[in-house]
Amino acid sequence: MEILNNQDSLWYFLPESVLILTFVVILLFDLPENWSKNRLLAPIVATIGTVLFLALSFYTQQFPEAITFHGMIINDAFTDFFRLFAGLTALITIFLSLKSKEVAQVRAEYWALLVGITLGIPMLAASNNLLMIYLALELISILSYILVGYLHNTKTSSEAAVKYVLYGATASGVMIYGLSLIFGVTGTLNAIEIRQFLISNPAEQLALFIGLLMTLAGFGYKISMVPFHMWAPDVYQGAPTPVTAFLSVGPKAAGFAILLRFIYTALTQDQGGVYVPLKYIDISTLMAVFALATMTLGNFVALQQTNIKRFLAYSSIAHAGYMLMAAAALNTEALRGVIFYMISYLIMNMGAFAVAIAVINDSGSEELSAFKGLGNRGRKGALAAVAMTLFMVSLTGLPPTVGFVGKFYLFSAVIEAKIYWLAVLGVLNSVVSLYYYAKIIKYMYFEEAKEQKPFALTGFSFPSLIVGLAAATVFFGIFWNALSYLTEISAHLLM
Amino acid sequence: MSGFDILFFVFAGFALVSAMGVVVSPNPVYSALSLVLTLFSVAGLFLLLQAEFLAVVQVLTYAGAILVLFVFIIMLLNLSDFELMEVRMGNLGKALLTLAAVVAFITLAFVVHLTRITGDPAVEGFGDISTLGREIFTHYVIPFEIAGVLLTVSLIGAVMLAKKNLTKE
Amino acid sequence: MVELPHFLIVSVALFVLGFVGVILRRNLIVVLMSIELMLNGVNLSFVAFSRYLGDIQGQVAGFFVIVLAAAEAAVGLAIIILIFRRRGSVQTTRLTDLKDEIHAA
Repeated sequence: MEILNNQDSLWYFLPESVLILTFVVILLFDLPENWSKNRLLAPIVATIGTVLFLALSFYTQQFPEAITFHGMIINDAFTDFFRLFAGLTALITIFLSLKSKEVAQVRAEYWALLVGITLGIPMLAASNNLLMIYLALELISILSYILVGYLHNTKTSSEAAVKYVLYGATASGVMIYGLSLIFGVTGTLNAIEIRQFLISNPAEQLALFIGLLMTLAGFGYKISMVPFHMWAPDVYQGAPTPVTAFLSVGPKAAGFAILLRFIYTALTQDQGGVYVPLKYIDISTLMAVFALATMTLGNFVALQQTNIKRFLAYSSIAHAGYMLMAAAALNTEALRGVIFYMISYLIMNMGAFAVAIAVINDSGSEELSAFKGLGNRGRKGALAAVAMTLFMVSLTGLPPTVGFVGKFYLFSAVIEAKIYWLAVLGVLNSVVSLYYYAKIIKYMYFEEAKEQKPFALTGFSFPSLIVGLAAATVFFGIFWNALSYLTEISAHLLM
Repeated sequence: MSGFDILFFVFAGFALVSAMGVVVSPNPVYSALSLVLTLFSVAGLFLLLQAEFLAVVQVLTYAGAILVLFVFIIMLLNLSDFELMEVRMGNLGKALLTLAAVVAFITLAFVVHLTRITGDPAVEGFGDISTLGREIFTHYVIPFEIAGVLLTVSLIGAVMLAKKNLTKE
Repeated sequence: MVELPHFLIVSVALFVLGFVGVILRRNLIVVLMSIELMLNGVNLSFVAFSRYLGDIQGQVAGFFVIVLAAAEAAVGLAIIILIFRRRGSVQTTRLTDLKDEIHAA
């Protein structure tokens, strides 16, 4: 295992450097008076930067895996995957932001902040040092606070932002206290060295256990794990819709990445594809309980929602519960499963948000009732309704969609780990979720619209994005080999 | 009892009493001033722990910059008397919360008491600026850069949020 | 004789006091101050461990925590100004626009 010094590590940092540069360039381009009047300039620069970032991360993928910057950052296949994921999420979000009427008037800072969060995602996923984890997490969090509060002129946006700040700052405070306890007991901040400490010091230390629990609170807040989920519905509802879409996919995936990396690297020992928990910390059962609580709460509360964003917030909490099963299963299959699930979640959740943005643009209302009769409102309405149906079917986890394959992988990993009760209860949860996802389908086809005018979904690019995501949902649901190849090469942690 | 011990108890006592003041005083201005006292006492504790540079940073950044910001905002918002004397939770809630806090404190105190580190490995010049600087600019150079990005971003974000008319209308 | 646990107990006390403040207080500015109190507890713990482990990394951590506390305070206060402009109040009890509505399904 190679630990590179700062100079040799710089090449590995090339993709992220491009994002930092993009961030600065966007802000600089906004300075001249006549340039800042052009509303398309900043998103174009952001898109170019993100595409360049993706291209460069394909380039750095060819480098041998290494631990860089004196053990701060790990560049392995897992990191490469999250670079790809962050780039794709950012591109879709930039597109959605351009199409959404809510953020039509934004200035250059909005795009700069989006790029900044995109920088934070791979940084967090790659962190190997507790301090680096904290910094990357805060980078994402603080930028998210600002983006959530971006819409000054709505009351809900600022309320969402202030709730986010208070929950976020408290959770990260609890987490950093936990990190300090871990540091105190193990004498190191490096996750790999923490594992070595745990292996060589089997004596029980209560301080370490409490420290780990407090750290989990910080991670749990980021991925909206029950009982640290309270901020999520309010923030998702109050934030501008494209930002909600981004928060529910990008930063959440980053939170999962670091949770899994931390648990797999520091708290378990690899024994031929099975990760055995170290010492007295039964992390597997603990995470299984969290997973079950998260999915159950998400699914049951989602049943009662009437606001589309709040509805999708609880749905995303439920999906966080499914993904948490990977932290309980602790084997290579689980890593593969969760990576597959993240891709499928990216496609179907972004798709659902795209349709939601189209509906909000059309009706100006965020109520679920705005979906009523969508299927009978002209050609565009029918198209949006069909796409939304596919996304809902996929979110439920029924074949022939990508959501089904993702769930299949995750549940088989859980069964492989012999946690049968979790698998059974997880499947039952999916059945519950069918009820509320089907409610939207029912609204779209079997209810009367308030006004029978054709659905306003103009232009060529926005409908084609929705169609593209819907097509991907079905395509990867039938031909999942391409994706499962990607998950196989990505499910590798350097430790 | 050595001078070290006496200083510790003085600083710790001031820190805790003034921290209490932050939490219970009804007027945010008093809270802010208590917080200044807490920060200075913690800086004193840092000195006892041979963290001279951090003690200075604590006074300059925290007490000097952040607290001024707090006081400035309190004055800027020009809160009415009603706002200052805020409504608080009922007696039962308070009692329960105090109980929970005491339990949490005892648990955590017990936990940290168990940390089995004894002895005094500190060497001459342990926490001085050159040791700290060397560590930050070799091993922690990436976190340092990210912290730089973060400060820039939060500066821009704070200006953007507090500005009045952001969207072009 | 003052040893590591003494410092840690002070740090725990600061942390718990800050947490109580976050829950108890209704004034957003005081809540933010309580969060600063929590972070001070964290810092004290890092620095104390750093000294008694003989490992400078703890102080580096304290340094970064101060930096982040500054960033968080700046953004938090900006958002509080925003709230005050919209509602003319900085009480948490007034933040009631976003909540779960219970409907009979």
